[in-house]
Amino acid sequence: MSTAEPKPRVAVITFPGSNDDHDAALALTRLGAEAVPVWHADRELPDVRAVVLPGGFSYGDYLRAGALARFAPVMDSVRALAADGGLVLGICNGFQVLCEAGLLPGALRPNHSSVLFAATCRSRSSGPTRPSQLGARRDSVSASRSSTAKAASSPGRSCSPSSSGRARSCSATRARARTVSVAGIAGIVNAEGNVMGLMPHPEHAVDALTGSTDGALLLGSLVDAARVDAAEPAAV
Amino acid sequence: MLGSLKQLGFAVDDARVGRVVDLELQNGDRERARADLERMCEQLLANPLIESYEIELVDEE
Repeated sequence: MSTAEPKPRVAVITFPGSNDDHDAALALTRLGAEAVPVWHADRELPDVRAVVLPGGFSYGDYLRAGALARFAPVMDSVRALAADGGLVLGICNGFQVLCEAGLLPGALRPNHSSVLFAATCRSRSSGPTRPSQLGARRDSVSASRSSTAKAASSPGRSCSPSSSGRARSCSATRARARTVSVAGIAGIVNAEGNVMGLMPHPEHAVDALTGSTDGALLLGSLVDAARVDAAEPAAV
Repeated sequence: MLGSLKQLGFAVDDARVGRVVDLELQNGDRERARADLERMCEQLLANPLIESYEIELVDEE
């Protein structure tokens, strides 16, 4: 890699109540991206081809988790980016926002135990075998099939497959049975493969200090895809 | 919550936590108010994929 090569830029949105925005930015930076912070009230996204909606409690989870963040001014630009093929990754609360915003099918509901689930869990990707823009790095598929990521759900949320029927076209990342989600689904990707949401926190698993570096497989793929996209601008 | 109630000695078979949203509308037209409230529930107040809702109109003097 030449030193002149620009770093792929990935926007990280901060909503009021987001609390994993800095972790996401740090992880992306360590994986070679330039993390660009974006405030929820900004109407325009900076010049990026990928955006991360981080975990936390946007708008205090008032009404329903993610229900109010969907109306944030920046979300129109996120929708436009997704429609244009840009990459959108929602982690935890960001996943909830994507579902509420209709960018991903389905809904997330409180788990039955109402207890915080926080553990490192193994997850694997399933679904269509075609390469997805968001997923594991292509050179580490075997590792990704049983990768681990920090799973924390607060106060415990589970993913419910869409009743719209589109869930069948989604590839799913399944956490092992200990998670409380329907069918062990930890995350989903939209049919187009450019919008992904998951409850586990890959940004908390990029340093051996916290028990696992497997989160880098997922976030690294986002950075790689953003890099490819940046190298081929305006490919319509 | 069910467990806590039982721990307090109450005989409760099941428990479910819901949500009540009180809205005030300056609208004498009950039909229109109900139609508006339906749309509010569908678009924001409830997530129809996982939640159901009931609308109750109360006239205030």
